Amino acid sequence: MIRFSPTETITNTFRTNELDPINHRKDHDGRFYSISQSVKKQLFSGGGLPKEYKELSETLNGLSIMVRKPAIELITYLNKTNFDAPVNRYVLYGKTGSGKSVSLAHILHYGSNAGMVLVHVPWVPNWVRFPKGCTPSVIHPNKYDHPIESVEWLRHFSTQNGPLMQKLELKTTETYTWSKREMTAVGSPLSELIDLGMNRAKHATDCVTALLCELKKAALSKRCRVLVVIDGFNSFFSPKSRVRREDKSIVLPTEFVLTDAFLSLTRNDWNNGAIVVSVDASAHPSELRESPLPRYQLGKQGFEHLDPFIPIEVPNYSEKEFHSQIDYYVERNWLQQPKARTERGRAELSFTSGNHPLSLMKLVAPY
Amino acid sequence: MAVLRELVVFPSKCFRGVRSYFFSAPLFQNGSLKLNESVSKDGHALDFEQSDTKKMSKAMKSYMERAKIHDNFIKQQLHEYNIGKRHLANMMGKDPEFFTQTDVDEAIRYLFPSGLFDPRARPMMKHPDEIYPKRKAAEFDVNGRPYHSLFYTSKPNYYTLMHDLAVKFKQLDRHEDKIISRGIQNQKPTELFLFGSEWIPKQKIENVLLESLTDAQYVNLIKTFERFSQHPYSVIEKDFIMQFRRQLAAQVEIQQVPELMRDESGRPYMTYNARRKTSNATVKVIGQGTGVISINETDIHFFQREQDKKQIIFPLQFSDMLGKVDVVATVDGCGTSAQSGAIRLGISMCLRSFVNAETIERMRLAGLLSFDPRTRERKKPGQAGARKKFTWKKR
Repeated sequence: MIRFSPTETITNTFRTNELDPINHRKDHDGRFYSISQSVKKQLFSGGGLPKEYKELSETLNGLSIMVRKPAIELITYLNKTNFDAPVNRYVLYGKTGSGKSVSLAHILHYGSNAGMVLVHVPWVPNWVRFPKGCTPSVIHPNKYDHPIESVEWLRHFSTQNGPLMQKLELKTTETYTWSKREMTAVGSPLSELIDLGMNRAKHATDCVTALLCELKKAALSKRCRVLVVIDGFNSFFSPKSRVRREDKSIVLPTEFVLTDAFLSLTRNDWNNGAIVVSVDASAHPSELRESPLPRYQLGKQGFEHLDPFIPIEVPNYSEKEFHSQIDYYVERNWLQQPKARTERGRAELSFTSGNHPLSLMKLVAPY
Repeated sequence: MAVLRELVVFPSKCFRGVRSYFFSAPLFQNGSLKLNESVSKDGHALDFEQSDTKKMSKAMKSYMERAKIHDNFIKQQLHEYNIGKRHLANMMGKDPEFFTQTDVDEAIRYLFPSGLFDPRARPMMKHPDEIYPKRKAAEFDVNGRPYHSLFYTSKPNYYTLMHDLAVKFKQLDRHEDKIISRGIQNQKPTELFLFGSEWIPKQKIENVLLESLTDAQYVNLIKTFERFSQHPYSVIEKDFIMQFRRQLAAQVEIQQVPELMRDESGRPYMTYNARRKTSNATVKVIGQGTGVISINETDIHFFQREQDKKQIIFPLQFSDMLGKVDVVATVDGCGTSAQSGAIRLGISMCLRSFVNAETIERMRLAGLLSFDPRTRERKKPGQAGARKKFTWKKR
């Protein structure tokens, strides 16, 4: 079993010593860097890594993410950002299974290391397609709450940003009246707001809205820097959802309170932050999967909301990346057939998977 | 002396040797059949004739009558055929003198178009020899005495052939002994080269011998021939043996591998239209490539199933061209299996121009270069499907 620590020198060409995403540059392209167990637990316990990828990392004894061009591009931009200008929106797009979620995970790690407050939605379609119980909102007429999902999300937020929130000590700027007896006064710490949301499912969604509002204000007043990472953003504009009213009519995602909250956060009317979003064809129902491109996936409404944004394509593996991936599998003993390690074997794997990351992972799996 | 006029019995030109070999009896006789000729120049001859005809039995008489009728019939048919040919030539506006059998066939096809499936059921006009089966010449003379010594075996030609093989075998043995006795032991005789030909089938042998054989007799004959041709000095009788062998078609038709073409940027490429069931694929294999594949403008994932991807990769892997050529294919029709099979054939056929002859032969043996002729079998009436029957009820 091989463990890599920052001080250990690495002799393989497919691994890199540089464990801090802030320092990842072009020459790290195609190389794996490992994420420690504690960081993984902190960042991804509420979601963020694709299920099979996560299981594979547990089987192969350690989460190692490949540094790829889209992530490197994003990191360069984020390092150079002028945080006084309005927030930049970056949209990752590409075929399903080409590595968008993993790139977002990489950026999340970057944000965490850079001391940014992470506002992370692991996978939006979970709220749209598999809601655990939507209730009509009390405060907003004709809108719907996600009590259980909001509680989960607040928990995820506090896990990700726990130590940072303690350090920052942000305070509310408004009074929030939840009911006759419950109230959050001005100047109370944000952690109180989060705790209230986690304990009271009824008010959780509104807590989320309030929290996002506060973070936006905090960023504007330079008290903190916010990184918004949303996977499957196009699901907010999906034409279908599994939520139905009493009269069996479908509730569109645009009628969710959570949607409003995150859409307001992803508007470019604030600064001192960055917004990284991904659009995926699998986040939409099958009728809307013809093209992976942002304009098609976001639809008119979504495009108008996000415009102007910086599109970043996540392509299939390049030759170097592909060989690096195979080297990793070989070293981890995941590719056990001796023929798979030969030149011919690699050529066959490359051809049959079409250099597509997800296809390669499935092809190489024993099941 | 009345003499039987014998029928023309000639199988085909290549068996000229056989003919002279088989029919020791004279084939053409002067004079013609004159059974009922009562008037004669020489009264003496008449008496002789009358005495001869009296000795003939009724069976002999009827046999000779039948022979005469057949002979006349064939003559009549030949006459009609020739006249008909001239008529056809006139109809088609061609020169009657140089009107060949192919011209006749073409004319018939034009004048009597037929939608019938079997070619043998369609209208035809051929030389009577090709239509009416040959008969043996008279096997016995006026007195009923057979010409052939093996006549009473009822298959004289067959047994003659068998006997002659034995005789020739002995001759070859004697030849071998002579060679050995002369002390030229080191000289190895040239081997009889039988590759590329096979023994002619039973039907053909029957046509040559004009006798029907049982399967056992045919097998026996072939075994004898095999034994004969395995004699070290059998090359001496090569001509004799080759009369009973036919060339295999595959040796004659060798497919020409097309030359590589060049596109604008100078890269070599080859195209092929391949089919499988009802799907058509147009495949272009471009050399100096990196292994890029495009099927209907998408990548390999046009085929979702692993087995279809394996079909595509098979010819490239087999010929070691994976990663060295690019493939551009368009395919339509039928289902995924047929489409991938069509593309596979297309890639294999294109790769012939890129690889050496040894690899082409290996590909052919692997079945990569053969068109798959299997199509969906039709459903038959009275059955549920092509083969499936309805439930059988005993009563």
